[in-house]
Amino acid sequence: MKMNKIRLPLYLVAIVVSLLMVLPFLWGAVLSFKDNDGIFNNPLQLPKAFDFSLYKETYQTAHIGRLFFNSLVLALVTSVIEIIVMFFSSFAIARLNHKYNTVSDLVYYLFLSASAIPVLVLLMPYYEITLSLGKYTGGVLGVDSLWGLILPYVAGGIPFMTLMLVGGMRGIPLEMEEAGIIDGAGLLRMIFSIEAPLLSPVIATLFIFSFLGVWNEFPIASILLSNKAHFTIPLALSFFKDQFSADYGAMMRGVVMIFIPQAVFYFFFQKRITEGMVTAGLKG
Amino acid sequence: MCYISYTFREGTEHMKKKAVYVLLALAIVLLSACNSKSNNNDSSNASTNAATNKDNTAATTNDGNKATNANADADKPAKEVKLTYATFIGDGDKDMMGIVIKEFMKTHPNVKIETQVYDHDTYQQKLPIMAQSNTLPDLFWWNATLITGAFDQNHSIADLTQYYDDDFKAMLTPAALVNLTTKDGKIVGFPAEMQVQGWLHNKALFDKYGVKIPTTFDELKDAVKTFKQNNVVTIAEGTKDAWPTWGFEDWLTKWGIHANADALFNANTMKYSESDVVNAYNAVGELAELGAFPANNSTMGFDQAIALFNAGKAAMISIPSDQLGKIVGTPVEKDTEYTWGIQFPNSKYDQLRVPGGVTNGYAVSAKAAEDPDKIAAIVELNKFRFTEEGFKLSLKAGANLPANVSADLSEFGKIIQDQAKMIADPNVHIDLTSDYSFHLIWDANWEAYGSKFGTPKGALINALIDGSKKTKDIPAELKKLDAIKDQVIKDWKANKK
Amino acid sequence: MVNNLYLFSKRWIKTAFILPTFLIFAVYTVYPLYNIILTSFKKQTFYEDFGFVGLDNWKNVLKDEIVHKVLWNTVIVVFGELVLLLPLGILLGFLLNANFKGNHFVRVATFVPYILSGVMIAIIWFFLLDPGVGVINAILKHIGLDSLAFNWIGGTKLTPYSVVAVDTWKSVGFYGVLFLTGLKMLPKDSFEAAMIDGATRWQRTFYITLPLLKETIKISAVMIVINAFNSFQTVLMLTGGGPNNQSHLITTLLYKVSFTQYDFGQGSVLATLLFLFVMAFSILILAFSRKRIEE
Repeated sequence: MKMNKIRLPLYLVAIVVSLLMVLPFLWGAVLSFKDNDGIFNNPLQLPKAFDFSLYKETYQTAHIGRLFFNSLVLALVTSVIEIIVMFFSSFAIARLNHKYNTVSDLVYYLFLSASAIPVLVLLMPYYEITLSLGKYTGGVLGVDSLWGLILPYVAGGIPFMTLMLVGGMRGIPLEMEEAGIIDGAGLLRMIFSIEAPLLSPVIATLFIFSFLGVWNEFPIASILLSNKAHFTIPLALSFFKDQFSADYGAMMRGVVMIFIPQAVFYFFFQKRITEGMVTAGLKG
Repeated sequence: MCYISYTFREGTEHMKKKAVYVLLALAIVLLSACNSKSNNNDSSNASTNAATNKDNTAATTNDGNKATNANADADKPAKEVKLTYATFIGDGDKDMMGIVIKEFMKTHPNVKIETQVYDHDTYQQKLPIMAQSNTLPDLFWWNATLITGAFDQNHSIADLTQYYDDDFKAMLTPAALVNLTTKDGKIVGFPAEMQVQGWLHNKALFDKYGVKIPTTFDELKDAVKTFKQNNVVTIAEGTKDAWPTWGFEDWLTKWGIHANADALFNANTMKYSESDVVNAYNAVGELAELGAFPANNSTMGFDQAIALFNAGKAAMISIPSDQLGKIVGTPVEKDTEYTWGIQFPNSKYDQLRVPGGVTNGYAVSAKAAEDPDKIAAIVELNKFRFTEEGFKLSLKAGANLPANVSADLSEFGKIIQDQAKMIADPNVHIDLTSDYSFHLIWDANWEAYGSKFGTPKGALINALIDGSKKTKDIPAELKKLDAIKDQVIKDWKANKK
Repeated sequence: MVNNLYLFSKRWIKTAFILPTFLIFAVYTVYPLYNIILTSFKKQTFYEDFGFVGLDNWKNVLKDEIVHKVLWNTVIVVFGELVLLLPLGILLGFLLNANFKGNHFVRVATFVPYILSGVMIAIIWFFLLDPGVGVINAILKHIGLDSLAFNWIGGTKLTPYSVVAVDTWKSVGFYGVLFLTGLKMLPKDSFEAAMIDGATRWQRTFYITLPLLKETIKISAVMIVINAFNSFQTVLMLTGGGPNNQSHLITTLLYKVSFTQYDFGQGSVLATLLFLFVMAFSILILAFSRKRIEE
């Protein structure tokens, strides 16, 4: 009875919120069928026709498929490396201690403190570091190589990953490990058959976060990549824009084509994201 | 493995090191494996630094294969020549070299030219690095001053003087090679287009409101007043980007920035704030206050300004020749009148001096010039550009070559024909040696793209147009420019080589 | 309590486990930070390093009136996002926690902008906010409310506030889910006790729920502040810093100075400033919230 009273305002709020979130995207979709002249001279006018062949054309000029492929490969490889590397370091911090360990604590807080450093602060040296790294790796990890982005991205994930993994590992009851040791499990077996499965929800969340982070990263990619064949999704707009001109309709088509797969992706993984947050004890 | 070492409690130093090595090796193997899988088609990057590294087998084999392929091909009778060409223009149909290359490859099936497209800003960052490490593309677009500068610094750019025979030179106008020639007379590039910055007028609008197309600043002010009353934008100008105000930089020339260049920028005996260029800034401020520019122009890019002009909502636009394609073929084209812009009768400086010239070129890497097949193909390609066919192909991209070709231009429409007439006008003094960013005296590499003085100098014009600075602010702003100028000249003299 | 894994806690195993992360951390966080601070005392361009010049860069930057304006803009964005995003995030958390049909849709709709690249969000919002071609002002003028059609972007004043709006729109879903999770973890018994005591709904919210969410609020505040300092793409796409550099944030100005003017010296000063600001703010918030907890 009491509930019914608050129902109506609740729905109103829900509808208003949803509209506020959805309308800008819809407007973007409308603009995607207009050309520069229409967009600039008649902002409110609807497109003359909904010509989907424009999309095909944009798909080709921006190499959207290539962009998705680049971003997908980069995000997968980076996330996997990041999680493996940091799983071990977090394990050492959380578990490989004699009683209380100052070193572990020090490293832990050192890693965490980096969360307060904006990436723009570090951007300038990244170019030079990557340039010289390229010289030692035959260009593989150098400037203008997709793989050159991996290490900066892994570094960017250190604070959050360490926080979540160490937190998760400390949450695992020691009895589990004691039982393992009594069974004669070695260190690696302990890690892979006891710790990792118990932490799998955290790892899944971290994977998604890392993946999304790489997927959307703009500043580092924008200074390290210059050949358009290596571009990632956030650099897509530069295909419609050079120094002297810009095709805004095509830009919006690019946005729509990039948006839809991501929305679908989120739709399927949203439970995981929420679940993982609970597991990690809301520490992030 | 970790477990084993735990069992043997005397886990030695040796094991410790080994574990670290294994980890590092694993990481390298992982990365190089990834690279060889999906990076095959990427030549620019794999070949960049491959030579310096022995460990990375993936990249070197990749590169090695390519080299052996090329050798094998060279032995075949067809003599296949593979070239790389770098540009920042993504659309091959808008790049004059891209269009020419397409046709050239049709008639020369043995020549394969791979185009590498870069983002403009990063392109400008990368080329100096490539020049230093001698990893330049075979053929590439660059600013003429930077080509000569890089040639003087290190010889990673080819000296092309020997390929300019008399026949080739006869194909070119005198302007073509001025900026591509070094101090000691070597020609180090093939000329790109003839860049001019003129003013387009929508004559239909002028007629409609009974306004004369302005030839002097006073006439322009009168035009602004009439257009303002009728809610028409006089000058379509957006200030979101810095460069479209080049048309107004021309006014600085008409108020003596070039004539006084030595006193201003070398001897430093003249203050910028006390020179006559003040009048040019005042003129822009005055126009802005009369309402000559579109409202909200600060978020307006050049394309938006073009859209305004093309929709018949603006009477004038200042436009560089490589952007004319955006107006060609639109309904307003037939109504346009193309001029060199207004004059200031009370200025004592040359009012017929207009900005223009061949400011960009195509350079060849020294490496490519060592390969006789490559250089032969490159020279042939560039000679083809200056034939009537090449000239017309370039014009399709909107680029007017500095060529001595009498081509029939009737297929190109009004604006392109007008431009050819303007350039041919014997009365004007097309400024062949300077470019819009005014690297007047300072070495190209010192000022280039850092443009410590050039950037704020242009930014003030933008600020006056968008209204964030008013005419009354000009003296104070120019004092700031004085200080910057002093500093730049001081630094430049201290570091001059 | 003795950790039974001490058997494995040989120093070299631990070192080997931490080393890769530590190396990456050293190369990509410690070294760049050191390098930036060092470069801020140097005259260095993209092409050349002219050596140390003392405090010249710092003096030039700190007396530049554009920098003052930019610092002020950054402060507006940081406080604006804190003031707007935190309450809206909490309210969205409550909304998502409520049991109603379509709850799922609201959650997806609010979260989706968070997973899209900021550049694309910003370009969409450009066509909403722009005074010349944006739909907001076009509609306002269409229905005769010309007086409300402000220069949301492109003027000298409102851009930072528009950045707050866009960034809030982009991230509100994330903080909503964060608070939703926080709400779901609250212990039930304190509510039951309050219900028995006859506390009203609002009383329960203010005196029980919000204090219990304290940890989540604290963490969100730190995240919001750090992200607000990091705000970059929005300004880059909306105005590019114009007119006349008036709408830059520290991030965008530093990007412009470093990567279009290649003045690494002054760029480093701005980067160091940004670093100091973020550190100061994070410490302030943590200290402030700790004090509150102690009380």
